[in-house]
Amino acid sequence: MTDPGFWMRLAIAGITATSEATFPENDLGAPDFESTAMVARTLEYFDELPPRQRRLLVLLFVLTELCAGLLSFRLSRFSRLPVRHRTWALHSFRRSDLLVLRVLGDALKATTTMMYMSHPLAIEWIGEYRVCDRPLDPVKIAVRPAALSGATEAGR
Amino acid sequence: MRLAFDDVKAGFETEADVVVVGSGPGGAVAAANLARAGMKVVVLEAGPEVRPEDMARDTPRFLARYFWEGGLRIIMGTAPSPTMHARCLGGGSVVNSAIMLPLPAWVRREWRAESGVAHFDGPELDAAYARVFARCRVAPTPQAVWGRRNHLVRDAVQGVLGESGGGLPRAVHDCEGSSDCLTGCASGRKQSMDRVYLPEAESAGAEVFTCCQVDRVLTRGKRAVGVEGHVVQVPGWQKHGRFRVYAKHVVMAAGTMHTPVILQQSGINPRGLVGATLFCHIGGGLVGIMDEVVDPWVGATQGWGAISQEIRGLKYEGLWASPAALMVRWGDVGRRFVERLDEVKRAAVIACVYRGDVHGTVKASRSGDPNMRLWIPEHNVAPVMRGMKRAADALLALGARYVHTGIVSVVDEMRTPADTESMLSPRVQAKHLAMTMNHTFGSCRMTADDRGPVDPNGKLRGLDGLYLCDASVFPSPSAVNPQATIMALSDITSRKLGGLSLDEAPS
Repeated sequence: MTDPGFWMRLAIAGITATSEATFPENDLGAPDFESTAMVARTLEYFDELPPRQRRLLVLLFVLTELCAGLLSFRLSRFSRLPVRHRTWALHSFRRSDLLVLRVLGDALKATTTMMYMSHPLAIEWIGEYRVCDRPLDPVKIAVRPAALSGATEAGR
Repeated sequence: MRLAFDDVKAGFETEADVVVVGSGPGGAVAAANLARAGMKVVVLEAGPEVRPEDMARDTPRFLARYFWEGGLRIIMGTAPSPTMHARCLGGGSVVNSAIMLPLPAWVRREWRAESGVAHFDGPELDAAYARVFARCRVAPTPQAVWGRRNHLVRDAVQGVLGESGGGLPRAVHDCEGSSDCLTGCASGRKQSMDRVYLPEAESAGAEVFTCCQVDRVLTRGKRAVGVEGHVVQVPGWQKHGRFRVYAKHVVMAAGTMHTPVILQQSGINPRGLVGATLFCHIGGGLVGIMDEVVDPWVGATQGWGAISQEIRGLKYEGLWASPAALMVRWGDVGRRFVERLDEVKRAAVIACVYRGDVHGTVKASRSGDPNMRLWIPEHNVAPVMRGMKRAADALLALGARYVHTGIVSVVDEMRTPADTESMLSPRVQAKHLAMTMNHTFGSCRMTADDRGPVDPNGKLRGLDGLYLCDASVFPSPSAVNPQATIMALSDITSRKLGGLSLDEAPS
């Protein structure tokens, strides 16, 4: 495997640290950041983006890795903080009165949630299905054609 | 004739009577009318065609490929918010819920009064609505495809609040209720522009070029004589060959954001009015977690709605999108988020959309992307939050376990009317609103006098041969989903340009 380079290594550390804090290993049985291949899929997603947006997202995770620790009152890289502290930091950023922190928190939550919730394991875990098939779609979702006729006035 | 990336990647130069920039609801209607009027029409679309096999439920990838800025566009200002603008053949009509609501009568009167443009409240607009509604087979969403989610929204908004509504009129024929509107209708039921007006334009001789991004309008003296730009490949977004299209008339239909940017980049900005205004609907969404299993992914994405009689300018509507898009603001992070996953199947979502008097600007950035700013007056917060509180109370009255808004300054899990009171607290400010600003308009307003850059014929003032056919001409917010009005106004402008009758009966 080729070396991704200094900045990309920082971004990968930021993605990993954020994903683990957002979708931690759990005893509920829900998929976590590893089983949903968050890092690899996020990097693939970056490749789909227009160059400017790709650079912005790489920068977002680089800054997270370098600065989010400091912004949450710890003199450490984000990935080296305990998971619980990272989760608290992300929660706090999103509820901050400071616009910059709120935008940072929302951007991290949005990017990682979009990737997590589009993984087949997460789709299966929430019980999502469709009433009609898309045979050409590589993302396979359970299909229940009769569900629509059962979902009426009185509920199911 | 439809040309794809491989056909045009080396670049090209061509001539036409009319070049239409953009293939969304405005551009497609204009192209069809002008081609039918016997003109040689070239349509330029910046994005690719989305074929059924491209309509994958992999939401991030779909957004990255078929939306401007990969779906990551943000409107800055009071409450920085995402705004989604499609970049594909057919534009927004491919990825929206196809809602087709005409302007409410009071908005038409207001538009006419403030702009002085007679047809905003005249029979020409009625006739144009009738034509586009017939062509797109617009009909109220049948109850059979509402799914439980839309029924719950009706029970809450109509049953509890007493707001009268119904199945939303949509440009969909024989809807399957697949809840997939926002990643394209793979079964072809949605009457999007790539399936309705563009084929009509092509059969009348129009040439449709995809992956062709226009950079600037070419002018000679006081006249527009064409456009130039570059070919873009998707995915990857690499620039390839350059193109030029020379034409007697240029029709700009690149949308509220891109039309002013292209004009500004071309040095066309009469009296500094291009992009000097921008309007947007504001609002928010409520997620009610019900006791029953709702299976919100069943049924039309936006099947039921009501225009509020209680709060002028507010609209309630049922909403669904893929959880990958919906949940970016929903819930917390960490274990709290994971715990909530089990509740998604119990969710009923109500969107509250408010007209308000938000104002802003659009300017071309150095990268060529629009740089948008919107300011939300604090007095707009009260009606939005009052509407949201009413909807939240209605969901609780229906037995919701709790209601969640994603707004940081209100109670996170509202379980009682006392909790929903937090939405009316003075602590809730405009900067706290959590929304997606998808309805944007008015960046190049149409006015009878020279307060706006566009005249009542849709022509840009001070330059011959340049017409605008998109939501940028709206003089103020529409209060309802803009697609029907974009199409109707484009129908009027393009009929005038092509010499077609404004009285023609719907076919």
